[in-house]
Amino acid sequence: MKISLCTVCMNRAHHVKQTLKKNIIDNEDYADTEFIILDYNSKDDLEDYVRTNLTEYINSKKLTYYKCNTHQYFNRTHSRNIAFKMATGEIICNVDADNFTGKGFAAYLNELFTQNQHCFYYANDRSDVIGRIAVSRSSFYKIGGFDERMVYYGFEDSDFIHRLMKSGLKAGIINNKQYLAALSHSNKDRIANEYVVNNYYKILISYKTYSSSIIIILFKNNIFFEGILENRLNLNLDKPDLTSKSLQYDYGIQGNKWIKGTWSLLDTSLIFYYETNFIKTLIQNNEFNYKQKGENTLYQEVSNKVLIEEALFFYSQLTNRIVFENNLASKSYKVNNNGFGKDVVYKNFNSEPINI
Amino acid sequence: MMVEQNYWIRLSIFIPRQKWHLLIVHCIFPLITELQAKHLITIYILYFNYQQGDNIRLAISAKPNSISVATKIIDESIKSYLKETPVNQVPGNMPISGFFMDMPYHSLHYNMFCRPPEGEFQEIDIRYRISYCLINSITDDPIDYAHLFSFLLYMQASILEAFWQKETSLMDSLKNILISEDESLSAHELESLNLKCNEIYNRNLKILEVIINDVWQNTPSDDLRWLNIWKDSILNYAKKEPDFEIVYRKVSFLIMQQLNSFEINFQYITSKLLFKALTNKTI
Repeated sequence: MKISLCTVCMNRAHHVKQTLKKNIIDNEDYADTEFIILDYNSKDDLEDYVRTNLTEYINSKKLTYYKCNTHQYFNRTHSRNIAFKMATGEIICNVDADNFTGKGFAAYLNELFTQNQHCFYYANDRSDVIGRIAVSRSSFYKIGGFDERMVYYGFEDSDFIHRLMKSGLKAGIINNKQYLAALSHSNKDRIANEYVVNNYYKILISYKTYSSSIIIILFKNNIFFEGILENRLNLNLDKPDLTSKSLQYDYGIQGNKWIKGTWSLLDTSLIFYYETNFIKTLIQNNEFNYKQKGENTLYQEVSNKVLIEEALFFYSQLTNRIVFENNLASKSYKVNNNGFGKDVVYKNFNSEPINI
Repeated sequence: MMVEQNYWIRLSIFIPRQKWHLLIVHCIFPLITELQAKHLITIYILYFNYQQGDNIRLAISAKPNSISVATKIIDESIKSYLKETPVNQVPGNMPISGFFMDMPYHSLHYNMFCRPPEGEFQEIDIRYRISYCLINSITDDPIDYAHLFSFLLYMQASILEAFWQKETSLMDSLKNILISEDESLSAHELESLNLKCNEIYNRNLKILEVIINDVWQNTPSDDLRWLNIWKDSILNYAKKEPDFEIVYRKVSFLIMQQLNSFEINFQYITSKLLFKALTNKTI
């Protein structure tokens, strides 16, 4: 059974340099393995590194390097769909750029799928390896790949897993730690190449209660997203809750929906135009402080770097989570009905474009 | 330890960080001691926290038959302490530092964090031992950066000491840990961190020597008696998990979580200082 181990990467050459060659060597015991690396328009030295250091593996067809020049920002689901489509194995497994497969991982996958072909396998014990999902090619196509409505970070793996289960496959767990090592890095790194981080303009917060606040994220393209942020842990503060039940998510947005609109700047005032035709004007009091016109509501601009990162990470995750939760509620397991992983790629440094 | 069968009382005491030492010495320490002596609670985990204002989080585990009595005593004792020692300070919400408004100081709230995860590697038990050491390390002096720094150095040095005899290549293992940390940093970050480490090392050479001597001698002074408990705990973990690197990384991570230090790479700096100090010293 041919196994394809797929890695997508944008500006993570520093990770690939540590993992890819080692992963190739660690899986030499299983001959029918291919490695796919999709360079999603990296601006670092990933291409040079592969060309200089991994040519022997490209020549032996152990490794195939694809480059996609189309996108300015990283899109996890779309890039993975491309890599999976380019894979030629019967079993396809995502291996994040910071992941180590460990020795004999491909052979281990072969053993698992030989024992039970109506399964898929995933790692669920640590966030660093949560993207390690192995699935048959036919099942990948059957559910329509990763949901490309999820354009940010988070929940794309959970969604993929839940839809595979919904399609009738049994889930198996990859729990042998020898296959699950990963380089550690921060949440900031995780979303560094995403649209959100590179295009936000301001973040405003207005405190309502100890457990709810209005949050508005303004983007440079004059679009804003607003929601009432809820801390669901803070709803019962007076007496100990001794039950061991845990909340599915500690934070959420009221109604599980972002309100979208456009904004403009008039002198120092921010004017928000909602899709409902409502207009809100925030008059600047001082550098980081705004007052809503006609109301006593105060908004503060977030200037703390840590909080900005947290807010953008939260926005990224929550936006994907909303799609995930809608998919959970849907009867269908198939997504991307108009196709997925569509793009133009270049194989092994050739200038001939491949339309996929 | 049958922790699973117990209940967890999760409470947050909001008080300015400059007063944390007084809260611990005069309220939390005697309260915990009393409850344990009466067998009303089993273990506790203490975290320093800054969400919605400076606060100390306590997760206290009690058996089902003692939970009501324990809860009543805990609630009354803490509220009584807060009432007797009011502060005029009010939380500052500017500039904004969190998603939600700060809680008023001198207030007690429940359920603001999840129960401690069972995890693996006896995580809850390690957290309990860390909490024990932390509470016992605090005196009438305010908990400042220097205190947290020294505490972390003592705790990490003790892990090294526990493995010192049985692992001949211990310094290589510590070096491996530092190399892997180095690899996760950019060249610029690494350079500035190394400069910082050298500066701290040169400034605190004598203190580092004292810490190493304290840890390696088997008769610590009265104010460091908690160190022996910690060293015994580490020796116990080492029996179950003999890999130094795993123990060092995991335990250091748990200590950092409980100290909740804002200092980036705090743990990296202390590890590097210990490496330098131990490399230059004959023990």
